[in-house]
Amino acid sequence: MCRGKDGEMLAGTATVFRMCYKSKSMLNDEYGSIGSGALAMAFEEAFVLSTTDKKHNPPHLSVYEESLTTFRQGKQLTGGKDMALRLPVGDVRGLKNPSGHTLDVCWFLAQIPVNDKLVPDDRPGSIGHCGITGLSRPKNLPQLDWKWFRVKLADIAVKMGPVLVS
Amino acid sequence: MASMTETLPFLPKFYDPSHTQIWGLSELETAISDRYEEARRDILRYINQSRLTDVLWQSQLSNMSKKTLGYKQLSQIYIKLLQRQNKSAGIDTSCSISDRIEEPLISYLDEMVTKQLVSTEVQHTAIELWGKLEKASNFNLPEPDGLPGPECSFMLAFDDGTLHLEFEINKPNRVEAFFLNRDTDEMWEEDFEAHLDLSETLLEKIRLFRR
Repeated sequence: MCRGKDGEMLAGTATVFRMCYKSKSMLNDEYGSIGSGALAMAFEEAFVLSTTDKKHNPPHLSVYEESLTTFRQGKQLTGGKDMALRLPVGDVRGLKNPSGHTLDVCWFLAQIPVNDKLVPDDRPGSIGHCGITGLSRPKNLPQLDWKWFRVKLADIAVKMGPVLVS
Repeated sequence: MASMTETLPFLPKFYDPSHTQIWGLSELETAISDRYEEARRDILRYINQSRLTDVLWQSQLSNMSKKTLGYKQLSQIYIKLLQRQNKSAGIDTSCSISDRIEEPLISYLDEMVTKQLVSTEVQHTAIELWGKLEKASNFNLPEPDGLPGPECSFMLAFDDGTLHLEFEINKPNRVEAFFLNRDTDEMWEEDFEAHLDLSETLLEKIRLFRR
């Protein structure tokens, strides 16, 4: 996989991952054993845009393309987040919320805040940085429909199998 | 009359299937966490204050000890028995009991606060909310999952594969609830303050997850 230009779409065959912390059920080894074989999960929280994410133009949720960034690099790049949630780009693009909005995955230069300014991140693995766009709710549209996106992204990640990174 | 806390017996030996050994009192004391001990002392203090008879309490302990239960199950039953006997004695159950029920959740929150991933205020709101949800469902909920989010926020979530109910705590005392039925795409949300009574609609949703 070659990195595209800033703002360019990723290939539909690519897979990206989002780093997050181990959830309670993962930490306590309860994962997959809640209730009658069903799954308790709180991964949706991993798909909430932070204040910094919202400031990007366009707003996007940081993810990494998995052939350019390893999970271990992802952990280091995100300050020790130890779980990778994998998302095939085609599946992300296939989501359409009840308002008819969709998501996209594009290349974005990795940036880190230094002295209140965002500067390029040149640490190992940052070359795979990209972002999911469309998660920022346009004004006057129902918040519910954007929470729907979060649950559906978490469902994709669960289907793919979350990866614990040592 | 001697203080009931002083006269209460310790639990006799019980069998922990995960360790396949019989635990005596000393091993039991070692195995249970400091937090659990603290909770237990609080509970005993509460019983004492509530003037329940020690006969009733000893009877409960005796019944429990006949069963082969691990620590986790035991601690949950401990609380549920208290809840039941308080109810039958016409005693209003205090939050100090209910908000200690889910030990793994509290431990997880403690860890997240230590790592500065969740603020103390958000932690308190999460625990208060969890206590309320448990009480509202007669202590019959599965364990929720939890995960820290941006800016020291926290999410609690119940999910049975079809139904999804999440509680997002972004600010102290403020909770955003969101429900999704994957089969029907029915959605519902509500913002509320954790210290206020839960709405009827929310109670209906949470009861869908009862075991």
